[in-house]
Amino acid sequence: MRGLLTYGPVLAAAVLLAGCTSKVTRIQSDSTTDLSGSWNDTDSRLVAQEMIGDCLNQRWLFKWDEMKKRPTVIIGKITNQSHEHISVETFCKDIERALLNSGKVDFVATKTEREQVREEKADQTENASAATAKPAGEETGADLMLIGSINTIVDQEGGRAVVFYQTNMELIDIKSNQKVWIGEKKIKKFIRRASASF
Amino acid sequence: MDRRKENQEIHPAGVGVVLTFRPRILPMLLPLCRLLLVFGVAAVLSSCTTRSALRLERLEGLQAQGDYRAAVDRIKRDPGLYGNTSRFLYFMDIGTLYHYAGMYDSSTAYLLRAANLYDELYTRSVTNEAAAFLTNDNVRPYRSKPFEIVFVHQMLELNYLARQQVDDAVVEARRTQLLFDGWEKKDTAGPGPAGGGMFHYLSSICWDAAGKTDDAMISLFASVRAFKSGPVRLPPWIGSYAAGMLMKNNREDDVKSLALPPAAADTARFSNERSEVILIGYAGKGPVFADDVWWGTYVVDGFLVLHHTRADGSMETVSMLAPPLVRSDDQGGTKGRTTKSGTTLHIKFALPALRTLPSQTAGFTLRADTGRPVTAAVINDFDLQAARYLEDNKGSTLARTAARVALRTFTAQKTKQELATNSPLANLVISIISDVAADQLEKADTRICFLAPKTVQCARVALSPGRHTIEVTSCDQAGAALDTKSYDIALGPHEKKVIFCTSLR
Repeated sequence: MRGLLTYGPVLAAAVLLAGCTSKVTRIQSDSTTDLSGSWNDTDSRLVAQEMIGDCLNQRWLFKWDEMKKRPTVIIGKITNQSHEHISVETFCKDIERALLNSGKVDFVATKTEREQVREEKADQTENASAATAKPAGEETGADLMLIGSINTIVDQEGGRAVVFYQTNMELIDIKSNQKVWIGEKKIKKFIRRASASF
Repeated sequence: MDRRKENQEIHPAGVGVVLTFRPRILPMLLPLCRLLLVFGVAAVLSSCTTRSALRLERLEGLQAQGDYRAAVDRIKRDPGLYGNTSRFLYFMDIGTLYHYAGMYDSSTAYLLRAANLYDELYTRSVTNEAAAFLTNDNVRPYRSKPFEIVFVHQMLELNYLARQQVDDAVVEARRTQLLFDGWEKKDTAGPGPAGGGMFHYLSSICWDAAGKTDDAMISLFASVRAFKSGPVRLPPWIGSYAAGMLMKNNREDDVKSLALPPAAADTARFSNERSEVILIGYAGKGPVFADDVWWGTYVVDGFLVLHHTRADGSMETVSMLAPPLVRSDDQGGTKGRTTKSGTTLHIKFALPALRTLPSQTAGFTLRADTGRPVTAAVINDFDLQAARYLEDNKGSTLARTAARVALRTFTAQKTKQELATNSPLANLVISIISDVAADQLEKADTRICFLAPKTVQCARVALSPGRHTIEVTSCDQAGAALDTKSYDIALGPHEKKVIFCTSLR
């Protein structure tokens, strides 16, 4: 009994202190990890996969196949209409990469990227040799624009919440304003937070 | 009795009974060591209150001078000013100071950490709650008052607007709306106490900036309704602006239901798409909390009567049923036994009380180019918010604290009985140490974000796209100019440009 009283607190302190040590473990980048219930890399990946699979198997692409041409796509604005700060760029880049690697479409630089490129071209006209300087006015115009939005609906009560994410993406023919493809992915999460812990 | 058994005797634990374990060596010194340990713990725990006072003392001067970056450096050099239990305030204070300093990205980083910590602290630690019940509320991690977390989100919203990140500003408006929804369901804080008027008003600006006219009008409607429920009164200019904008958007019914007077002529130039310069002004010193001493009598199985002296010198007395802290003994007397019922106990403790600080800066005026000056409207008042918060929580804080102090006083009496020796001097020392330790343990939770201003004010001017010179003057109560700042602004089409002026004098 006396031994327990003497060493018990020491052991308890050791266990508590061990719990304070940081530990980092590397995990697969495609593994599912949910900590807070907020939008995370898994959601981003699920949306990208769904969109790519759907986008590449739809009718709009057959038209270009028949013409033996590859359409040129530009990424427009993907608006975050949710209640979380979501980096929409991550899945936009996933979609862009997958579509480009499929060999079925071409992409042109986005508005911000173009500004950088044009700045570089302007610099080249001043400083690069005539043989290597890239002229202005020879950019490829996009045929289609990809736009979209992420929306959420939250229903919460105490420590419980249901969050419904809906991601919509649309491909618009720039010449005719026709919508040639609409894709959507829905994710529903039930989040429960404990009201007490030890 | 066998001597070894006697030394290892353990009394059964119960209310007011301490476990005793007596080794053979120095039996007289052990109670004193134990009391000194309690005294040490009490001193450490009482430092939480000392920290609040220290923060005020060390940062108040820098804040009043407008040297916000120096104040951030001071906090970062000495994180002990906050300690582990006030991490929310640590992040909020640094984020607020960076916001005042115009370093919006740094401010956002800290304010987001404060907002995330607020979510994490939803789960209460049973250990912390138990410790708080035995010692004082300062032992709990600071969870933020409703008006503070709302202000955190509003500063985030304004940081994003200042950086022209309208989507992110709107995200903050949505996040704050979820907080209000939660409070409305729990009915703990309505739209008024937590600054609903300012929140909805800023949200309407965000929605307009994002081109969402319907949402902007819904928020404007909610803003007027929240202002009307107090504690901050509806500024006449906002009432007039709301009437004009709601009418322009064919919402006559809304104007009628809010009983708004017709829009004044100076609001006629505004429309949802119009380019605007919006001034957000922070004026004066925000409130602080101080210790307010209460004393009274606890009657076992009877009443609890408490008194305190108000700031105006008058006495307030509160009576309530005594919380049943010890097993009821009211049947003992009828059965011919001695009973504890009816015995009294004198208790004394401290509760947080509002202390408003005198401020030199009372308002702002904004002049665009050569136009007429526009007076800023008060959209939030932290003195009123803090006063309403204390009033709303007075009953629960009072009952919890009184119960804790009564229980501790019982325990202290029992402890004294347990530790009594045959030396009058030792008994005196033990009594003094236990009384001082008990007194040190009881401290009011005076934590608050005192870096918030006294009032938040807003002025708007509708302008054509292009370059403009904006002059902002901070004024005292009599309208005399204290300071003038100039802003050279390039305003884009449909742009809502936010500028800030901070004068915490």
